[in-house]
Amino acid sequence: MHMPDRVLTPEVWATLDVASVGLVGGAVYKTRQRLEPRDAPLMAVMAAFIFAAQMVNFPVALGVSGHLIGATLAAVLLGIGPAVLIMTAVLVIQALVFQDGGLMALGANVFNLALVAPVVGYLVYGTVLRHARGPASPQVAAFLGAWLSVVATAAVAGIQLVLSGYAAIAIIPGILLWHLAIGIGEGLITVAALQLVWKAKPEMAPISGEAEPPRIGRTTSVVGLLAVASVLALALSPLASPSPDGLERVAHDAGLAEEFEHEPILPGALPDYTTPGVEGEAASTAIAGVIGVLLVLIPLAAVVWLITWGKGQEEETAQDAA
Amino acid sequence: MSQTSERIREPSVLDRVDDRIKVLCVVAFVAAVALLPDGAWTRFGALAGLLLLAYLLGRVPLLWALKRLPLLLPVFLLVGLSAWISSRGESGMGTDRFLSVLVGASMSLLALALMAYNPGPDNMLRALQFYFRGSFLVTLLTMTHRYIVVIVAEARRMLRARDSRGQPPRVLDRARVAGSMVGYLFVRSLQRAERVGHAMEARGFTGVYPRGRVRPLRWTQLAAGLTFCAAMAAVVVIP
Repeated sequence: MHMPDRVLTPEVWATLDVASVGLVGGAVYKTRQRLEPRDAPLMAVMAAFIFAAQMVNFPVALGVSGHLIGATLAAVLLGIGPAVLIMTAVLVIQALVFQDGGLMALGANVFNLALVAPVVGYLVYGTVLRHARGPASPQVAAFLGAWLSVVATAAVAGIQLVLSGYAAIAIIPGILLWHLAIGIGEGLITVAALQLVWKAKPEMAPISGEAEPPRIGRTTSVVGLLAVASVLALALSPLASPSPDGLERVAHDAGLAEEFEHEPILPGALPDYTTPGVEGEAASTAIAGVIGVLLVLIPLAAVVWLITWGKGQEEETAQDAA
Repeated sequence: MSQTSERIREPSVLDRVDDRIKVLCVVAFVAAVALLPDGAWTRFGALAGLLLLAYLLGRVPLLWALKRLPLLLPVFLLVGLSAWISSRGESGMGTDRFLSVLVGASMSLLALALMAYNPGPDNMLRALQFYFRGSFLVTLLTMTHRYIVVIVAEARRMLRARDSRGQPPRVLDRARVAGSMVGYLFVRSLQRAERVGHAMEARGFTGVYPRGRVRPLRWTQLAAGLTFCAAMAAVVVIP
């Protein structure tokens, strides 16, 4: 969904405009260092391809049709830098020529669809491809990348709408659940497209071909996936139920609840999924959700890191020796 | 499309304005609409009147532009639903906020539609080349716009062929067919891109469009454009 003007407040769209100019500027600088003159028209034709690929829709049901966004597809086939530039070009053309998306909101649209979507898609694709074994691993990696890129983009857009005060927090999980389904379509189309491309151009295939697999370091993977998990936790926090769990309910029904109620010996850091000192129930729950995700995932990541550290070094030494 | 033939027949007032000034004015107008506070109906009305005047002066078919408004429907539904949900609580979004989104987003879209009609995409991109001379991104935009016509025509042919054959009954198969079509389109586009890239390099292309001699802006037009921008700033700042 392309955001039109006025759906975001000036503080939000101006911040995203500045952020997008900086990040896309960085992508232009990085990409141009590696480009040859003939690569500019190549990227232009690829941007035109993404624009056209978004027209290839398929009927789902009840008059609703699905189509590709293409951020992960572009990132997998062309690399992350070119994908960012290509998606930016598509979004600017869509806004200026076809009025799909606002002009002041262009920064937000670029941030969501040209930065978050390809980066998340590529990160997940690269991470899964690095660890998964088996002939279907590139397809699985691409599916997960495309699916999560759509979900993460929807979560980020939802958070922007809530920050602007133009969308109720309660609506965000709905948006997210809807995009969980849309993401499946994105994943299926991306995989089918990649299968055809890898068959027609085997040199572009990541395992059997000459194409370099994505170079995503372990730190980037961990930090990136933590960021994605935090954003999803933030967006899904309104689903946290205020109702008591089963045991509490039974205790309450049996009249035992009051008997067991007493001041805790050690007060919880996040009592009842709220953040002490943060006003507003929704914000308090959302921040508690993010802290909870980080508290679970950081030690987990550290353990995985320790287990695989020695193995990674062995692999690097073996590669050096070879 | 009728826009070319109409302009050949008789130039409108808008045609006499430099394209670069028109682009500047539209950007200032959209920024003003985006910055107005919610519920500032007098100022919204003044800007809407200005937009209508531009449509009349440029003899731009309003009906053609209004047909673009359904693009905003999903967002209106989302914001409307949010307004309804939050109106049940104490911190209601309020009708003013919802209507401000509705009116402001529509006005912004109509202003962009005006720019797409006059000066039109090609001249608009030329104006951007003037403001961002030597920019790789603007070069990319210009070339992308050129090739969109070609690649979209190819995609349309593929869609027509698929639709004439009929779709598979299962949704999964339909998605797979759509994906294969996208993959095939990529392969065809890549072949075209390689040909175009080599041909342009052979003609001396260095990565960005050369900085040729630029027609200077006439000071009267520049002054008019800057006055318009100042007026837009005043509309936003003065309550």
